Amino acid sequence: MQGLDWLIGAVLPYVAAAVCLLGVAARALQWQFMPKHVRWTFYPAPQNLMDQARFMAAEIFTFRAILKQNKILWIGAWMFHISMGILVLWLVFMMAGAHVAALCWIGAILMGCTVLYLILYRLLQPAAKAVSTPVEYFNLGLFLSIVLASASMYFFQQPSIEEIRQYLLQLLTFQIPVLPQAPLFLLVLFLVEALMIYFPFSRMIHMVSKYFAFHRINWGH
Amino acid sequence: MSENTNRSENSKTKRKYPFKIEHPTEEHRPETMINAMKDILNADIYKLPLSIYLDTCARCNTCSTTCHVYQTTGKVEDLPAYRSEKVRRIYKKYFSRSGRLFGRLAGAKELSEDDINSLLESAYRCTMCRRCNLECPMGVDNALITRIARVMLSYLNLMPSNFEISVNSQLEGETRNTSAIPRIAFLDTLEFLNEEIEEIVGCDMGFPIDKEGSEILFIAPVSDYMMEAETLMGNAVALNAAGADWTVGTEFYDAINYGLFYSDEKLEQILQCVHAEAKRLKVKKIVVGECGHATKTLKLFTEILCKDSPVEKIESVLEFTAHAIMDGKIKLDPSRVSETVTYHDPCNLGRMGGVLDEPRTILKACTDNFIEMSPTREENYCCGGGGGTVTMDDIYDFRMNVAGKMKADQMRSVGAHYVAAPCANCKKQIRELIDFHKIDSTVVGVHDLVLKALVLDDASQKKSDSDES
Repeated sequence: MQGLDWLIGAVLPYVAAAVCLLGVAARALQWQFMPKHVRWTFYPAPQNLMDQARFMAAEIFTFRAILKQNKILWIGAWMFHISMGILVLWLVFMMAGAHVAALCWIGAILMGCTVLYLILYRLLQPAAKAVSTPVEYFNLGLFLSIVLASASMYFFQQPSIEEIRQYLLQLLTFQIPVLPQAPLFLLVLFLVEALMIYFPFSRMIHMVSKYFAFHRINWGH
Repeated sequence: MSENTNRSENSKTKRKYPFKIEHPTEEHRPETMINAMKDILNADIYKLPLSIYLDTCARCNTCSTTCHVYQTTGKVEDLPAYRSEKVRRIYKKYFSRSGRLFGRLAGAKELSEDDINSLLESAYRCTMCRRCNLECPMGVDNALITRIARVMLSYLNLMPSNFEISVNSQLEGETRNTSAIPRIAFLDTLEFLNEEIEEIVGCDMGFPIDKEGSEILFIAPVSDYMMEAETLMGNAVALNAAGADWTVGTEFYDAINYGLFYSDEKLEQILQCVHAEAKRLKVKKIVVGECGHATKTLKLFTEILCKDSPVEKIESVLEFTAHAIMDGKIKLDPSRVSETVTYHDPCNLGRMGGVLDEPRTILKACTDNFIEMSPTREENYCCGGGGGTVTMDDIYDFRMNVAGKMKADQMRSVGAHYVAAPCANCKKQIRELIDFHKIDSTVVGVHDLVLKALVLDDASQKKSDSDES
């Protein structure tokens, strides 16, 4: 390995993982240790851990608020997040040696369709268009580019799943990695690394900020 | 609002404003606004909420479905997320790394004179009712962002004329209250109210005045002393019937705090005045009259802005009376209020103050004909005069036709004889809505009905008589 292969295949994976993990941790710690703010409770706040967990579970797993208020957006937003879950699940199974092709197919198709749906929603629905900034389109575009690059790799270069698995295992066990044969793999890898580096500094940090917005502010009393 | 445009008399450039402004700053406006934002971002009380609210809005517009202003106009300018974006652009441009690096691509935009004008109009089309926070998946509160916008604008003296006049009167005027009621007139009013109470209940259950060492200081919005005699008499009677050791102060007797709507500095100064009065009278507890924003200001900001205050507890008079009813200290006869009664949840008391059950406890004890509005409790609509906009007569059309439209529809649909609204601002707005929309209802305070329904047993009458002698 040399040049770009070495940079994207052997160095950037560690840089991206470190930036992602440390970046998320830094932001969470920054929020955790911020000075006491003005009491800004939103009533009625759930009184105990069980009620809070129930609320948060409904919010995270069903997108309760969007489901209640805007079903057209909900279909796209909820299924997009579900597609991420499916792909993560596929990755875990694949790494464990059980490549479930169906999961990969469903996840990728769902993600591609929902990202396109959300882009169109933002472009065509007047109120959504009015509040959308270039960042919204960039974020969606990043996911779309990962799906498209992966699809291109699959259709044009027939990558070996076992090669990808071995490569990722080598990374995880800090061995000198051997890149899979498919040249487009490098592009997919680069886009995923870019997403990981971008994640802690982007709006996607809502995965973490949500805890503070509800537990510390809305329910902090 | 644009049809109600005023021109500033003092302005050299004859800049137009959407409402009357006393002394607008005309020079170095963008720089001043940026410095204002710097101060706000450095203030501990906002650090956590703002760092989340300014960075994590997903632009899903779920807030648009709960905003009464947007639901009425359907204009993108009234989308809560769109309004907040005007503040975010300044933040991104001058205070965030991504904005500095990527400019407009990251949502940053250089602050122009037009942006300031547009922000001014937006900031006062929001009634800060926080209903947008009801269904926000990210927990973002656009009402706080509106408040921040208003605080920033106040650095340019861009605030409604009535805010400035009232707050100056309260902090620098001789009378030390927003309605400029002199102490002697205040004492006369108290005397009048005490006589009225005696006539109604048949014994002395009036206002104790400047009773040093009492347990409770009762403080109401001063406008109640001019407009809401029944509410105040109900407050006094409830406190007395429950056997409270209480007093009103005559050095600072106005709970109104318009600082909440536009200025942290004024908010803190007014808060300090209330606590100074509490300290002077050596009380341990403050009970706030029927007023949403005054209750919220005292309850929420005391712990962080008046840490040295000896006051141990602050509560709304609604909480006091509800607890007294539940403890059996106050007896009410529901047959005395035979008309239908509904309840308007003032935003600052309900969603933002947690006073949701108490007024219902009181009203259900006052009448057998209580009916809920729909939606109700934390989902109830703002009266349309929230965020201090009720004081702005030059946006009357906006308050009646836009901000108050949903409330008017709600009241017409419930069709109750009495609309109980325990807040001076809500009462004024609802009274105007009832007139404007020709709704067959009457607005009252919750304690107006307590006064009607109160039953005094012989023991409390005797106690009251012996206290008098």
